[in-house]
Amino acid sequence: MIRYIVRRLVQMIPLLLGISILVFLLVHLSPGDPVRMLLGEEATEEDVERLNAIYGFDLPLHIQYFRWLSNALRGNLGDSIRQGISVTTLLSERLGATLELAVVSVIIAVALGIPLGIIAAVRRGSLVDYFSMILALVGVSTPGFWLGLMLLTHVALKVDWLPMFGRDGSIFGGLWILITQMRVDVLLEGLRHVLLPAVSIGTGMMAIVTRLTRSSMLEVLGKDYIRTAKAKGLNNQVVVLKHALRNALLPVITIIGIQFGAMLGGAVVTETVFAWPGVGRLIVNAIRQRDFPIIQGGVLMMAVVFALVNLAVDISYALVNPRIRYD
Amino acid sequence: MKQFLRNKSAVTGTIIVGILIITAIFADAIAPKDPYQMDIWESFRPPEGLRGEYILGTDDMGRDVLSRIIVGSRISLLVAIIATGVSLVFGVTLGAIAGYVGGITDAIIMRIMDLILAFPSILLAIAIVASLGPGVVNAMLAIAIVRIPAMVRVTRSMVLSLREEDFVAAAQALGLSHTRILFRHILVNCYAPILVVATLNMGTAITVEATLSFLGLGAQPPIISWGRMLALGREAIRTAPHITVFPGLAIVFTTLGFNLLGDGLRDISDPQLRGR
Amino acid sequence: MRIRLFLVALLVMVVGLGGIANASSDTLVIGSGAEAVGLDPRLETDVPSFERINVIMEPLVKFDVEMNLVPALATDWEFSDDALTLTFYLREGVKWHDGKPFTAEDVKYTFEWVLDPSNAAPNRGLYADIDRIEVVNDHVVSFHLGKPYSFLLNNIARMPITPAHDGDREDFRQAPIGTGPYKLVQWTRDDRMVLAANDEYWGGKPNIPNLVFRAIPENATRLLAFEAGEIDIYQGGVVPQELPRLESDPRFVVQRVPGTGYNYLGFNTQVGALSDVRVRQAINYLINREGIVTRVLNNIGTPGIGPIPETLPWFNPDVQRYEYNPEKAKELLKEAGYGPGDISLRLFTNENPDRVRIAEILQFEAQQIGVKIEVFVEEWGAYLSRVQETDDFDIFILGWAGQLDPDRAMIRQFHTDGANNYGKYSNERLDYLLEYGRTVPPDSQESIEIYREAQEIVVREVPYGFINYSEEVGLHHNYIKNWRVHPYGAGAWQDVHLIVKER
Repeated sequence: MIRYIVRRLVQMIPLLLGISILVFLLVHLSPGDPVRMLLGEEATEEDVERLNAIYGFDLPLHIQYFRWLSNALRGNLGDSIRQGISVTTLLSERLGATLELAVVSVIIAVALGIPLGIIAAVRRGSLVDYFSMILALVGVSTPGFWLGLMLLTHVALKVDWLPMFGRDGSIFGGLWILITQMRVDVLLEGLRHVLLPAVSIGTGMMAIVTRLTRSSMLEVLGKDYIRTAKAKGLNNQVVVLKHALRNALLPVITIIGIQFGAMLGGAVVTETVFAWPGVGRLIVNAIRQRDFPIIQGGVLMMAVVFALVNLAVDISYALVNPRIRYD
Repeated sequence: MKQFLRNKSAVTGTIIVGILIITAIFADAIAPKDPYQMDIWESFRPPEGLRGEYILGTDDMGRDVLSRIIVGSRISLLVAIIATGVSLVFGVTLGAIAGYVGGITDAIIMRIMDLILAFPSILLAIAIVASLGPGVVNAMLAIAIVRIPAMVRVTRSMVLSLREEDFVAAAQALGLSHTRILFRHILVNCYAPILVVATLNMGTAITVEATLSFLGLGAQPPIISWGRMLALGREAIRTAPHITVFPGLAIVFTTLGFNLLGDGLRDISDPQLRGR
Repeated sequence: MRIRLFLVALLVMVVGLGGIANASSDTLVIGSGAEAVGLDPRLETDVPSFERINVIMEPLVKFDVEMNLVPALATDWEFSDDALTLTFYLREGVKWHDGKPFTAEDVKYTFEWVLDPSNAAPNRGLYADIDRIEVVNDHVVSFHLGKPYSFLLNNIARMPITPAHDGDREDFRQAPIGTGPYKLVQWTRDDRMVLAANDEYWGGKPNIPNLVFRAIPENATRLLAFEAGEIDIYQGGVVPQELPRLESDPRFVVQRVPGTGYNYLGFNTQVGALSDVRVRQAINYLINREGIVTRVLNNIGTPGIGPIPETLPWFNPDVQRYEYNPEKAKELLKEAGYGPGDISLRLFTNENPDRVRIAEILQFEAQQIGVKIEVFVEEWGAYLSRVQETDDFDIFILGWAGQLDPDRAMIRQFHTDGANNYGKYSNERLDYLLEYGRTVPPDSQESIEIYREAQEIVVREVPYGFINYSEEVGLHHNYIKNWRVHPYGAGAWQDVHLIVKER
């Protein structure tokens, strides 16, 4: 198992190198000059040249890249051109918000999607089945940012308890306070704020999870060993929950992993709509400002997180299904 | 065919996609008004219903929202077809080569796909469009690139499983060229899952285009795109919600159509799930 | 042990940012359209940054809400007779947030830092005429100029003073101290900036103990948050279509004042059809200014006339006016030898919705008289590069803000060698006037005459088509008292210590 994890981690290295080169080229070959963005509409040519020299943008591309790489290997992703702060700081202070939003979205998606999928599969052809399938299809077809706008005007405006924007404290922190001090207020405050953005992002994923759970369950329920179990007179519920579900969840876990990655970056527009202080917003603003080090570091971090999540998914396979072995 | 007609998703999806195609082709004839005609003195008229002058109201520049939605279907359909088409051509070719040739070629192709997959797709699309410059063509290209890996994976796995089949061995024994075997014998046998993925991709393409246009990176004026309608209408979402609600519903509706169709096709093509 | 320390640090990081009370009576919550880039006035260029900086720090002199220069850290100032020395008399008894006294050394430090070419100060050009800064004593400081520059004072008003003893601290940009009414307490970027009253403030103890800035990029979301009471007040980015409703709602107060900027069409005066002044004039006649102002901007702003805001004394009301007139445009094109279908132009703008709308309207109007305009909406970075670095465009839409004097409003834009003369416009007489104007005392009749003539030239020759003058809109709940909207967004909160929250 450990050898497997190490091998996977080693395999990540060329991938990350490739990504860093790709992003570097994409960013540096695109029109738009970070120094001009910084100086704005009032730039003078003299100032542009002076600052380009200060930031090293007048050097050949490959030298710039190796400079960046050698710093990155030492854990230094450079400083934001516009804000002058280290990119690692900028990313780490937003990572919490992004992970929080992604985690809550996944929880919403899983908590609603899996039961709905199971019920739909067990009661195939029933009203519940139709309802959940329609919900699922509409869910995947709805752009998250549009759903967000609709939630703001149709839900948040009418329900006083729900705020319009922003984040207020971390829910991870809230949980910690709940455990250590038996106080629920901080957690509630955090949840209140994360709810609507998480629903806007989570709906699409919930739809995917529902569909997949249903079809996966249907497949497993048709297998011989389930029929055998039923024939042996085992309680229907036990069969469904214990035997079928465990196997049916495998593909669902894969998709959760993939979707989790998509969520990290795909939440960009939703983050803007709800003024959520996340990484996606940072990177998109950086793309607009041509703040090269942020784009470079941010995308790399996304890729790392994504790769780690997928690794975690593969490992959890083994936990759900002990028959799978790694070597 | 019978299976197709019996599958409710497929039929509903076909009807919706059919409506979309007909709307797009005959947009000029169907649209009650000139979608480009501005009259800023008539801006922000609320929906007036079927008997009113502006059935779904007017937008921020006094243009007829219904007509713009109707004409906007063209760009959505175009993006769906072209972006998916491009990803289909590249994805199937690369996937087939990877699966059939195997070895280092396979490894290289799949590592490149991993590279693309390692980016969150929306972010990659934004980055591509930002570097190529905004516009509907570049948006299509970005969407196509982002969707290629899915095509490659499906094709590759199909080819891998078919490669070992007897008829392939037979063809190879007959001395047929690899290209011929690949395209005439293998690929024709795996069109079904590819078609399913392509159909589902079309739905995704429409939402991605809307997202890019919402960020101002997609279609440029005067091209009418639903995403751009949303982007320009969103500020006035309180006083004139119809400008954002209806194009949004149009996006949901058409994406739904492609997804239903794709779902239906999958049910039909997957013998394991047939009839369920 | 290491790991344990790390875990504790992680917990503190996560837990430490626990809930901070919103919108209670001892906290003023200000909405803002964007997060500050940083808080060092020597490095920032954007309005959202200065909105916040001007609460923490102060310049020597500042513009009040009537746009008069009034004392801030300097109580008095004077030019020498040869106009080559500008002397400031500093306020005594002012303390930095850390208790150290504010002196002339701080002034010298700030401007010398900006003038040092090895520092990345973007706005160095504004102060380039300063040769030497002399500390006369703790409370008197003199700026010695290489050549007379009449409007230097306005530029000095844009630069809050930073502390000499603390300004080189590595994280000064993120956690600065100043002399202003509020001290920075905590800043979570893209989320909130928390400040506390500076009870020692020379202008009097602030009325509200806590101040919070919230960055909300979407105008619609910011308004919703305002109406829900999650923010108390904001200036700028008020959704125009909502104004009538907000103005009639007794719970809210809308304040409006003419701004300091304008939107314009910039023409490439060197390439193709637009090198003919008649074609530029023709396009200028196609701008439906009244329609744009009333319907696109919902009456925020006024139809554009020339480069100088109407509120400045140099404004020339007698220049030629270009009323919307497609017939006249057609005639001019005919005169220039162009018939319908002969001209095809490429218009660029960024994704600012108002600009896109204006572009679409112009495109439509032009089409009616047989001029084809292709609109390209570019992403801001690419757009700015195109306009500044290339001449690969026919028309672009941009805006200027902070046009506080005629020099700032014209020399960079219309002088042959102007840094922002993107359309490569050139007129010898105008060059002369703009150079000469800098050496004439700003409050003299001569200064007014020089710039009135300059405006006539610019309006006649149309390097720009002026679309609209801006207007600043501030929005607050009715329980907020003692605040007035500022004509320049960056100064919106400079008198925030006077605000009262009656709730």
